[in-house]
Amino acid sequence: MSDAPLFFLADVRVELDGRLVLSIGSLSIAAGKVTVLVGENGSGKTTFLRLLNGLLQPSRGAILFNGAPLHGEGARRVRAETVMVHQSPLLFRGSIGHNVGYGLRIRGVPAHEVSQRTKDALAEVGLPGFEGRRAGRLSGGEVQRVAMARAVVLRPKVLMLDEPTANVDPASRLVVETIVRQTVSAGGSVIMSTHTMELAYRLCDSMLRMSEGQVLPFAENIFRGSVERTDEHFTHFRSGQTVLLCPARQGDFSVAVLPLDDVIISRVPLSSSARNQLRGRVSRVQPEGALLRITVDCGLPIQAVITPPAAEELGMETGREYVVAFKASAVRLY
Amino acid sequence: MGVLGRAIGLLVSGDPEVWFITWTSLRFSLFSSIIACAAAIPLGVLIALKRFPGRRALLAVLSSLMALPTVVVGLLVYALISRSGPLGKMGLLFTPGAVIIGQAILAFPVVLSLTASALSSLNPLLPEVLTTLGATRRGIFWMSVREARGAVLSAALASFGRVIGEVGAAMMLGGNIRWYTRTLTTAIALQTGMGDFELGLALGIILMIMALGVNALLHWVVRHE
Amino acid sequence: MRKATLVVLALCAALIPLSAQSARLKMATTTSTLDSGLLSVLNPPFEKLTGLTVDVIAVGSGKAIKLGENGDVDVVFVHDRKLEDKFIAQGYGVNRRDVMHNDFVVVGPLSDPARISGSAAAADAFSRISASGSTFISRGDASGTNAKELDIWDKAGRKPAGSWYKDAGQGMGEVLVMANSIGAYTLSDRGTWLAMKGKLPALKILCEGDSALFNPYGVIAVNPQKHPDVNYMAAMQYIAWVTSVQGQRVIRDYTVDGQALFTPDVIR
Repeated sequence: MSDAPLFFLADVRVELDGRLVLSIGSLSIAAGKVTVLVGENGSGKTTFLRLLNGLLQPSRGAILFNGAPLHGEGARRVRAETVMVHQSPLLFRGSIGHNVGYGLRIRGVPAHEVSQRTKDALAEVGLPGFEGRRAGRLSGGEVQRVAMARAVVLRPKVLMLDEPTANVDPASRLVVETIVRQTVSAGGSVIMSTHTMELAYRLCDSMLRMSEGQVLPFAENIFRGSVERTDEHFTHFRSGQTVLLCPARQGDFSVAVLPLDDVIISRVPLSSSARNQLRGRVSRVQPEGALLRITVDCGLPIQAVITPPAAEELGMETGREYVVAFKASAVRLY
Repeated sequence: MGVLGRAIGLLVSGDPEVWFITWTSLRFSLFSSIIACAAAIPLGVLIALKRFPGRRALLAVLSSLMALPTVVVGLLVYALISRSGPLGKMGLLFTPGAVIIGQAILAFPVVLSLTASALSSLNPLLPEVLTTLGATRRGIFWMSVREARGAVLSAALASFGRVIGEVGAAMMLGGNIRWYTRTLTTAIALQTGMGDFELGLALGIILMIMALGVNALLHWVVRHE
Repeated sequence: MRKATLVVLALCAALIPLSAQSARLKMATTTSTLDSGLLSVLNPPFEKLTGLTVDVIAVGSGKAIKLGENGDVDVVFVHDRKLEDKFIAQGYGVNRRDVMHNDFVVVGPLSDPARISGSAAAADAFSRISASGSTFISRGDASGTNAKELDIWDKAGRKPAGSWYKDAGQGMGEVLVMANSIGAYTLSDRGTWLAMKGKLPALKILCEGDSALFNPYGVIAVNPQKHPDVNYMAAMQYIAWVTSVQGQRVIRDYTVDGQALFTPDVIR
């Protein structure tokens, strides 16, 4: 895996019909990870995906795909290495097998291999034996799955999914998750937009919040891990070496989410109702508008946002030790 | 028995001239439809898939060209290929080639207009979906035709129907020459003019069967969409 | 896309007539000549003799002459002396020969409402038709028959206009059929009349024999000086045929219902 980011955007602006729909100052998307775009309808998620896919040209700015300009030498590689699955996908007339095998056929893959890979892809999405069925008689979730099969059969390096779980039944949602994980474990990358937060938290390695065409700095800490134990009052969630306390809940959770706003930084441990107190050193201080984003390494990198006066009072600087505190109820589990 | 009976008698007896005339009509109309389709279908797809300003207006104009009177086309082509005209050297007038050219010109706007509107009503996402799956521009063209194949086939059938029953261009450009450019329509015009109603009727029955056949095919295609 | 264009071009090329064109003779004649059936007996022996194929294009005299002027046919075979003379005087036609003649007849309904039966002069018959307001159907298509008809109206000093005068703009056969179905008068060449008499039970000849009704036929080659690409050799061969003893005999011997339609001009 090279160190070059999968995508790098610099100063990109996209205008449609004279309106500015996307404006991104500087952004890196890592390879081999799941990047999730979240935001309201109309926030620009679909436009962003189409931009990355090379379907849209930015009116200004540069986009690099694996180091090569997207609309120059990179254009062919983007076509060859990425596949997008649209929201409410469009299936071609004819059989499902014809649909799924389309991409393979136009790449000149021999017929017997096409039919074998088609069979495998349909099994992967939970529609075994569907090759012969007509495309016209499927439910919404089945259409989505066929479209996914049509995409994954090509074994793309980058899989882009636009709202894959909107209007879709739970079984199909599960299929989406499985496919995403499989793609990444096979060395690929996934860029996905959704407004189902639960799915977003569970799958993402990194999350991009979008609003009105801009990417906002994320406002939550997201940690992966697992439930260690649950007692009468709390669930103990372990992520790496650190244990977080959350309100007691039964369930198999793999993600813990902690909003930045709920994190308090102090010089010394507080005697308070906050059940979580972690020691750590400041690893990063970043100005963010009128505020400062502080990253404290407590075994986990926990971020908080404080005002400049507070930072001054605390003598905030990298390397110093502080205590990070937050209530158990501030932690959400997914 | 009457005229109708005698007419059917002609058909059943397999009169060679009747069947040669029928074969001529079929030949001319098939050729001209094929030429018109080969030229108009790609153009129609292009117009439908490329969004450019004034596209709607162009489609409206093309649609109205479908109603071009056959004698007008006959007259225009005649002016071109007459020995006194610019293409006179080619000696095309009063040959099968002239009729086929005239009929191809009649069929062209039919195919073009119907193809363009058929493809315009395809899901606009189709080219994008195809692109993301790696299709080239040619791939997008053929898949679009395939997705709209029922409508495109209807366009081809409609153009055939238009030319098989027309007489204006065939008469003016072919000259109704016996055993050469005499078609069902020009023969009917001649025979009824001579008062030979039996033959005219027999030919008319054949023409009607063909026209109805094409129509039935059209309906079947549309229904299976 | 390119494949489609190639297919179109190939098909077009296949349509451009090959050198076999020199084996075809294009002849413009009148609908009445064709309708008489003469050409079906006159042309085949010629085709056998020369190996040529005669393409007969039957239109009104005026159009036939026009086709000759444009060089769209190689030889013209019509019966309108005035037009023919002009055609030659203007240099479009050469080598005119008299071929045959017949005459025109005035036909009308069996009841003869205008009482023209027995008129010696055609102009007289026409006067009576006009005076009585009986329906008359005209070819109205600048054909030889039409020209003759207008000539007779001229001689009769009558203007052919009014609700009784139907300008059909069609060929002889159609006009006769029309006259038969509505019981009208019309001028017809004897050839077409005889060929179609069986289908016209409501009509009969009411005036004939007047020298004004004389109908001569001429054959003219299109001048190769004006149109170098016309098949002049074939045209001359055809003229030779129709004026040869053999050809003239075919014309003399052509009968419908036992009656000869045409009188050949070259042989007696």
